[in-house]
Amino acid sequence: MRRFIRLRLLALAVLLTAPYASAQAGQVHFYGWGGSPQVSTYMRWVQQELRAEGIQLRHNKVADIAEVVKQITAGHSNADLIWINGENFHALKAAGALQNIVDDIAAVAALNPQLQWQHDFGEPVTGLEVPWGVGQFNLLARAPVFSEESITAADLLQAAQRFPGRLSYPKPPDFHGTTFLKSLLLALQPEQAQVFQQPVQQVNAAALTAPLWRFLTELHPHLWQQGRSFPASAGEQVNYLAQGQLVMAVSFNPNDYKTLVRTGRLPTGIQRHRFRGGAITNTHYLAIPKGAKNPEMAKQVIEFLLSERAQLRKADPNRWGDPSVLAEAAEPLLPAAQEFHASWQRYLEQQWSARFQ
Amino acid sequence: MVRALSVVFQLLLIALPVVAGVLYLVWQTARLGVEGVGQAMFVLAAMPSVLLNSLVLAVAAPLVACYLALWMAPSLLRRPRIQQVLAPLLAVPHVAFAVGMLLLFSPSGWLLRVFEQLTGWWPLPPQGWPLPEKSLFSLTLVLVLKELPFLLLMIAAQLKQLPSQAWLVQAQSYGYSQQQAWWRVLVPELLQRLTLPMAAVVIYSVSVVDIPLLLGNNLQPVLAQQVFAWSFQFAPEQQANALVGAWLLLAVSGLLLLLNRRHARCYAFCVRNKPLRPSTKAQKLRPVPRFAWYALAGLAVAVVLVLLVQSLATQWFYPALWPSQLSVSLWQQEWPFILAPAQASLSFALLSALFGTVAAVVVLEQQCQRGKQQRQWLLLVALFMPQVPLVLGWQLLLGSTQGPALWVLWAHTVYTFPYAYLVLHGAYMGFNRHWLVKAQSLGYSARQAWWRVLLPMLKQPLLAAYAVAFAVSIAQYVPTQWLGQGQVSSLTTEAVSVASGGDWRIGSLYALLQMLLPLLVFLGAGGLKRKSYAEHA
Repeated sequence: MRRFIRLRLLALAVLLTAPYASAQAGQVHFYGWGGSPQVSTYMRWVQQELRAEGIQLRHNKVADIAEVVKQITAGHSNADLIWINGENFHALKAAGALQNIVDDIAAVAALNPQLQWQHDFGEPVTGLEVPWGVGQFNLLARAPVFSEESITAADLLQAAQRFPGRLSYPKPPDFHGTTFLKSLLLALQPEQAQVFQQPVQQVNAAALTAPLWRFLTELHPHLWQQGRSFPASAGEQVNYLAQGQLVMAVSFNPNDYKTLVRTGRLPTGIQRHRFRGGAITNTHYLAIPKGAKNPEMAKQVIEFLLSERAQLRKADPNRWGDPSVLAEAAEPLLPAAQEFHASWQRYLEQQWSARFQ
Repeated sequence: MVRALSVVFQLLLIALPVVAGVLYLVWQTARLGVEGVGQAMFVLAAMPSVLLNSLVLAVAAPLVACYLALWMAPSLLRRPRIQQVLAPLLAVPHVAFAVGMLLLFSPSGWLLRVFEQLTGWWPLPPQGWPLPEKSLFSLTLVLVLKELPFLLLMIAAQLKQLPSQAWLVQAQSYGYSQQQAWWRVLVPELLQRLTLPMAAVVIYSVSVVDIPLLLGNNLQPVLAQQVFAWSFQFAPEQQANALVGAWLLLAVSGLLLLLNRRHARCYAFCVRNKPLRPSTKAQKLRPVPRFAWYALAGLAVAVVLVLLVQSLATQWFYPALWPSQLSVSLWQQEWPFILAPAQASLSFALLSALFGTVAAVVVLEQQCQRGKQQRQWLLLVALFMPQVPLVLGWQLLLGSTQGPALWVLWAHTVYTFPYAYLVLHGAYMGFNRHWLVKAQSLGYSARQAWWRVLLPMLKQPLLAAYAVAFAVSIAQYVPTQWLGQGQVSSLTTEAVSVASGGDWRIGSLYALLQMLLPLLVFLGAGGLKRKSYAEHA
């Protein structure tokens, strides 16, 4: 009996102390947004494949990659590899916190030449990150909401009037929300597409955005909760679409209208739409911070993630459905519109909250 | 010895973390300069509704919860075991509870699905439902319901320490109803002893971020929510706003704590000035509150059930009352990946709750011996500092010290200690130390008396303190994620990151796992108690 108790005590001690064991060598710490079960499942496969190559990949899921950016800029991160784009990339680039890796990655040669990855939200990449996947801004809507695949701003307003209280968009500065604003801006003045590539300070932004603010002022009273509150994120909006509070949601994954229905997140009868003038297209990237303890292995991980096998599996709409960045695996994407210059992001967010918050 | 230990604990668990946090705030604010601070203050001054919302939330939620709890508490006198129904509610993590409430009562929630099935009025979720997904009202309601069980637990622990039956009988012998005796004799004493637990509730209502992110109106956010949003935006002016906002949060917390200290006295004053008529009927304590207990228990069960069904649903859309298909495939898929985080959570929680409770006992004992208790709010500062600058300050302090898991354990203890202190404080300070004198007169040494009389008599509040501390440790996200440097993932870091995608099927699964461990501890703590010595006395 006493031996039994002693055994149990020993087991308890092992259980309690196990988490304090020091980290294993040869581990690559990968940090990325952890909100998508499809991405997590994909990363589990990646971990399994890499283990065969002797690499222990740790997938550290975070609620918002900005947490990690904050950690890196404060000098407290142990990240070897991060999944970023847009504002988070800008913050890290401005802080000088990223390694120049593009020349060391052989797989870069196999990238789709049509992919405009050299600019991340208008900011030159300058070798600090390599593309991993492609995002194309699209709308998910219940069948009767929009009659055509490509829609205009007027169609949106009409739909809002036909389905009062059933349309909305994620609240800027959520990047889905800000991209929604950009798409509208483009849809309202397709002829100005080139102007939006320039820094906001060099153009007459007030005049260019005036039609957008007029449009939103007209649109908001017809929105969900009369525009007095907005979905916090694209994920939340997808839930509202699933349950029927809303008849429309937004997405950056052009395959979501299939993937989300197949995985039971959305009911059948969801269609994909985009604004006329093209789906705003951007790339999401992998980067290695300067403080990485294991940069060489992290590069091996990038090579694997850019391999044809890994990219094909990623693009499979039965799995993650994130389009490939390789030339070999190029598939028909939505007609693309170029991302705005990075400076528009902040400008639109500020103006939006000054007007509507 | 007690004194030395108490000093060590206070240095390690209060001075060190708080000074690091405050230094970080001061350092960052100094870098802004006068102009930066001025601009940020201007921005904040232009959003008075943010501050107002915070104040409404932090005043209304704790007060409503407090008086609801006092209204329900008489049941505890007659049937102390009823306290057991609180366990599931106490154990549900706040966010999981909020999600459960959404799944039950939001416009697409279960309640309205039942209506729709019965009447067919709303083929789509109705608009204008009084509990919309995002509003200050929904937010306040959820906080009230989540804080209610904590306050009831606190009242239960205090009632064990009071000769409540004797007081009630005495009042009756003067011709007052039990109802009157409860509100005029027991409640003032209870409120006095609830000052610190109420402080915890107030601080929580001011500083909570995750529930407002889910349920709060985001055009008119509460201050903590806005500060949190700013701290993850990287433009210099937004960073400045976040810093100044953090100071404002500190100030608001301080102000509300001052008000909270007056609460018991204010209540006593009002009661004293209300004319008192001896009751003509021998009015017993009304059994009305009984249904409230059942409702609360029912709510807890409903929340757990709806989370469970959600985690088993392959798909489940409005207005279906029940998922078309149930499957354990999600559980099977996640199972192999759950063990390590569960082990980490368990280890942190068991140990940090133990350390926190021990530290609380030591500090309380020292305060008792010294006979004065000043500056209690100092013990609580860590609770009302926004976590983002606080934890950044810790990291600055720790540098690249190795062994992150140990630092996570320390960080958890920084939070379990004040909660254990809060829960224990009333009972420990209210403990009649004559028992110790009596024990010594019977031949026990001072130390023996403490171990063999005081500790057993305080078993119930000690267990409650441990259980609350355990739940607090389980719920930590930012300290675990940041100090753990990705080498420690807990059930909560998994749950929070998974929930950020809004897929509640997998979110519910992790929420259930997250509540399972504290539930066991709360049930254990409740089941162990049976009778404390005070009940014999």
